[in-house]
Formats: sequence, C-alpha cells, structure tokens
Amino acid sequence: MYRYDEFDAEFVRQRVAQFRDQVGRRVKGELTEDEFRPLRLMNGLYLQLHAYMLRIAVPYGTLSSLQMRKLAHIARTYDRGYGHFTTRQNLQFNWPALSDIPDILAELAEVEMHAIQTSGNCIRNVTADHFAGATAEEVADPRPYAEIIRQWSSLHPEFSFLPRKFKVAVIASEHDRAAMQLHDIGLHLKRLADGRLGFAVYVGGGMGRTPFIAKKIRDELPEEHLLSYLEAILRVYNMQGRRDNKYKARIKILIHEAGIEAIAAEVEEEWQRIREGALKLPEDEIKRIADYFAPPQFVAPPAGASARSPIGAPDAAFERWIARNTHAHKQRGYAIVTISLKPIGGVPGDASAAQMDAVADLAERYSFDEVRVTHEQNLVLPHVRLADLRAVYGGLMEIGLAEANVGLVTDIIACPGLDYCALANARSIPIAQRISERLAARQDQIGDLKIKISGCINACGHHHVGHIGILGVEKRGEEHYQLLLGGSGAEDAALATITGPGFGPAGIVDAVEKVVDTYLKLRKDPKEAFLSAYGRLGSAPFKEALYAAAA
Amino acid sequence: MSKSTTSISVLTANRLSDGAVVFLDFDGVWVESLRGAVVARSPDEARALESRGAFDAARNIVVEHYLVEMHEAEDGSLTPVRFRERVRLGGPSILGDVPGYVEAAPVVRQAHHDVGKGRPQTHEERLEGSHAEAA
Repeated sequence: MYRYDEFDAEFVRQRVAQFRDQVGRRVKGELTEDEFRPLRLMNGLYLQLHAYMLRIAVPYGTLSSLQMRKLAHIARTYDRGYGHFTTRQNLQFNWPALSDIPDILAELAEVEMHAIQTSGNCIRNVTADHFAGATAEEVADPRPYAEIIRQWSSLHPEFSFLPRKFKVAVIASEHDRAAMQLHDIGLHLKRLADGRLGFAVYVGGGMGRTPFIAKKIRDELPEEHLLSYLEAILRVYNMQGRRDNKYKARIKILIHEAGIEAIAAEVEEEWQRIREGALKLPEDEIKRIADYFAPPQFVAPPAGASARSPIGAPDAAFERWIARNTHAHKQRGYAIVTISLKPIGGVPGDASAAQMDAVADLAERYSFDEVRVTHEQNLVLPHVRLADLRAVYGGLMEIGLAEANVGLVTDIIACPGLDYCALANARSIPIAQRISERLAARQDQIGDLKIKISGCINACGHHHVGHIGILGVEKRGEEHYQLLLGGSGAEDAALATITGPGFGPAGIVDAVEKVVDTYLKLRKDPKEAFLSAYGRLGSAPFKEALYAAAA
Repeated sequence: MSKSTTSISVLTANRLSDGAVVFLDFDGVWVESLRGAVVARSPDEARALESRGAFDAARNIVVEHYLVEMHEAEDGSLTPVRFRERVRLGGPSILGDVPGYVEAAPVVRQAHHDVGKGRPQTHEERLEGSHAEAA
C-alpha cells in the first residue's frame, strides 16, 4: 500500500489544524455559515437531513487493517456505532457533532487518511477496480496510476474551483468493475500497440439528471503522458465548462454541446504544448510509486490444494458462498473474497464498528492486511489462500456477513436516500430491503441481476446503469418511484430506460417482482442472464407485464 | 399545497453544534420536538417567524432555517404536509435495521427545555402519523 511521505503527513496535519481553527471560529461566531460552508465542504463535512455527515476518502478503495480499525473506533467513539460504504468507495459517518470533527480528522491523519476533496467542485477521490493487484485479468495494477493522479490532483491550485465536481476512475482489465465509462474521465490501462503500458482515455461520462456514457477521446496514451493529458483535459474543461447553470456544468454537458471531436482537438492542442513539460512522468517515478503496491509475499500452495470443503462433510452453504463470493486470483492457490454488505433485508453498505473490526482482523490474518471497498458497497479481501477460505467464511458467519449473494438480485446498490440525505425526494434503503426480502428465496434461480436505487435524480445509487434501476421522486408530497430497465455500468455500459408511469412505495416492489417473473418466464435457459434476455426481448414484454392489467 | 385547509407552518432549522433537527417553541427555544412549536397562521406570522430564524442563525444557534407547512388535526396535533418533512421530523425510518446502531446519548444541554413539557417523545411517537413503511 501507499505510505505517506513527510510531505503528505505534514500537509494533512496542517489541514487538520486549519480546520480545527475554522470550526472554533465558527462556533464562536467569528465565521458565518456562508463563510464556513465552503470550508467544511472542502473537508468532507456536509449538513444532511438530520445531522452533519462526514465523508472520508478511501483512495482507490484500498484500506489497511489499521485504517479499518480506526474507522471502527471513530464509529464507536464519535458516531452511532456504524458507518456507510458508498458507491465511490468512500465511507460516511452520519451523526458526527461539529465540535468533534477536528478530533476525528486528527485520528484519521494518524492512519494516513483524510476527508479532503470528498466534496466541492474539485477532482474527487480517484476510484479503481476493487480487484486491482489481485485479478489475473489485469495487465498491471491500476492503483499506482490512481495514486499518481491523487497526488497530482490533491489541492491542485488550478483545479480547486472547477465548474463542477470531477470524478476519475482507473481500470486495467477488459472487465470493468469500476463503472469507468460513467466517470468524467475513465482510464483503461492496457498494452499499447508497441507493447508498452498506456491508457485508453474516456471522457464525459456521468449519471445525475443528464446521464451519458463516456466517449473515447484517445485510444493510446503512453503512461508517461498520463498527467499532462489529464491536465490538458481539465484545463479545457475549466476554461469552457459552463458556470452559469450547475445542472449543465459537468464536462459531459460540454462534450455533448461542443462535440467530442471539437473538444478532442482543443485538448490535443493544449497537450502538445505541455506534454514534454514538468508533468511528464519519469520512468523511475512511476516505478517508485508502483513499488508501494508490490504484490505481497504469496506462498506457493501444496500440490492439489483446493478451495472446496477440505475437511469434513460437504457444506452446501459454504459451496454457495465459494461460487458467488470468490473470484479467481492471479496467484495460484489464492482467491479474491468479496464480503457482501447486503444481508437479506439489511441496509446496503452499512457496517457496524464490530463488523469493521472483525473484517480488519480477517484481513490482517488472511489477506496480507488489505481490505478493499467496492463501488457496489461491498468489501473485498483481495488475497486469501484457498486453504484459508473456510476460516474466513467462518469468521464472516460470526458477524453476519456471509451472505452468498454477490452479483445477485439482493446485492442491491442504494444511496442513503431520504432517510439521511437533504437532497433526496424518496427513501432508497427501505425499497432495497423490501426487494431483498421479497426475492431472497429465489435469488439463485434468478441469477446475475443488478438492482440500483437512487432517492433522487442525482443518481448516487447509479439507477441509470442498473439492470433494473429505481429512481425515487416526489409526487404530490409523497414518495413515488420510476422503474428503469436495461442499464449496465460494466464494459457493456448502457443507460437504462424508464418503463412508464411510476409506482408507490409498495407498488415498486411488486413491479420489480413482475419484471423478474417475466424474465424467468421468457429466458431461453437459466444461462441467459437478465440483461441478455432484456437485450433480446426488448422492453415490450416487461411493459406488458407491468401495465397491461391496469390499462 | 393543500386547498382544503389554511396553510399553517412552523419554523425549523438544524442546530449548529450537531446538526440536529430543531423547531422554535413558544419560549423562543429551539427544541427537537414539534410539541410546543410556534405555529404561524398568517403570512405576517410566517414572516415574523422567518425573521426570528434569521436572527438566531446570525446568533450562531441554528443553520438552514425555513418554514415547514403543516396539517393540524382537530386535537391540535401537527403533521408535516410533505413526506420529506415527516421523515426529517421522525428521523431515519431504518435505524432498527442498522447494524450496531447506538442511540445517541441524551443531549444534556437540551434537558432543561423539556422541563414542564412532559417526557420527550420517543422515536415512534415522532414518526406517528407519518410512518409509511414501504411495502
């Protein structure tokens, strides 16, 4: 993992001291709320519906056990005993008191964490494939590049007041686990035609009220030009992005209005000017950062080692968990374990302090001290020996996190929604809970199906790219839900389309079940997943099932 | 906007110190319960309440003050018109399902505000009239 150098540590310490002073002045009345608001947002502190909310950056979703234990400690000491993992691989605390924030940030600084640039019109926390460094599918670990971008973008003076927020994701496999094409900039690390490492660069993706799939702006960018090219894109956006209307201020709108060719030409012109300058990455600097992410000391497995119930009677539940929640590791004898934070009927993405501590213990003991946060609001132990899977499973059973449902219909993304969020129009979490309870018994039969729920048009719950998406709106003062079908946030990125008239809180759960029943009835065979069947069948049979009876 | 009843409203805000949802009561104190909240029944009264909110915001007691439209039952009890405000009043509807959730310790500095007003409402009582659990 990356370790702070003296500069990083001093910078974060200074920032804590600054914010301590600012909070003190606010409480004494020396700063008005208008003066204080941008300062607190720069430090990840929002005012939500019922309380303040602190969003803590988890760079590219990687945590050490020490850091996870610190989050547990903060949950216990300063908050209400739990935290919420988000669709941007971050962690949010929902109940901190203003006066405690400086102490929380000081505690975070002790473990090389902070909440800087988790809000505001700046380059936000860089996300990455949560299987980085572990999957055999990748050409190289994408996290060193994410870290290089983090260092470049942290307090970048030119890009601290962009027209709007700016999100970057990095992947290194053909399989996109980071919704890369739904980011302002998406980077796909790959082998270039000449065999060197470089990037395909995508720009202008995003969700929100006007969703777009990113467009490829450059197919082959050599790795040493990563920062100069990003700087060129950001500079063009910073100059030309709209500041007159916050709903049209994201780079996706600029690209939509000006056209990708025109923007690409301007980026190219700027890039040619700066590409050989200070931002060109020396090979030894890339290597210096990459060394922080060197693979752990894997142990070669004994011949014939297997994940499957090594001792004792066959255990169907364990086998199910192996099948759903583990993935192939690049190192023989190891597996990647996904810890579902989606117990049946539970709150998606929430973990108690005790669960965080237990996961930290499992990571320390069985996964080289590493935990990952996924954008689908789960956790990952990236490097687990096959021989230890049984012990890890047992440990997860003890804390209620052994649900074998990764990628299934109960593995639902849901934003905090109206239960917490000041922007939301409707609740998301209870809808996720009811759908989970309704379909749990049939989830294996249903197979791969991603449901994503947002409580407002800002789309934090990624409803635009759900195989089934749900958008909460307000209708005559009450909660109402629109249903969308056919989206994907993966390599086959697609935007879901609205089926028709919306539903009330009870009706939306019934509607989802009708869609699922229609799929089960019409699929060619159990191997034809929902999204494939939807692609073949189109929306008509689903709309028929949803609306025909009412018509 | 309801056509059948007169629009009445109360003044709400978030407390600066912890962000808690508070309402202005008859004693001019910001409390976490609707019980005892000052009700504005005319545009003039609403304007007066808003000025009070701006004044207390300037005194750094509360932030983000605004008027919430209410329904008033025959017994005088109040329910927010919008579902959003009912959740804001009642708190998250899902706390019973949150892993490891620990209720906040009683806020000591609020204690004296409850004297003479009976016991504080429970979470369930505050949600009453607005509880609309999905499905």
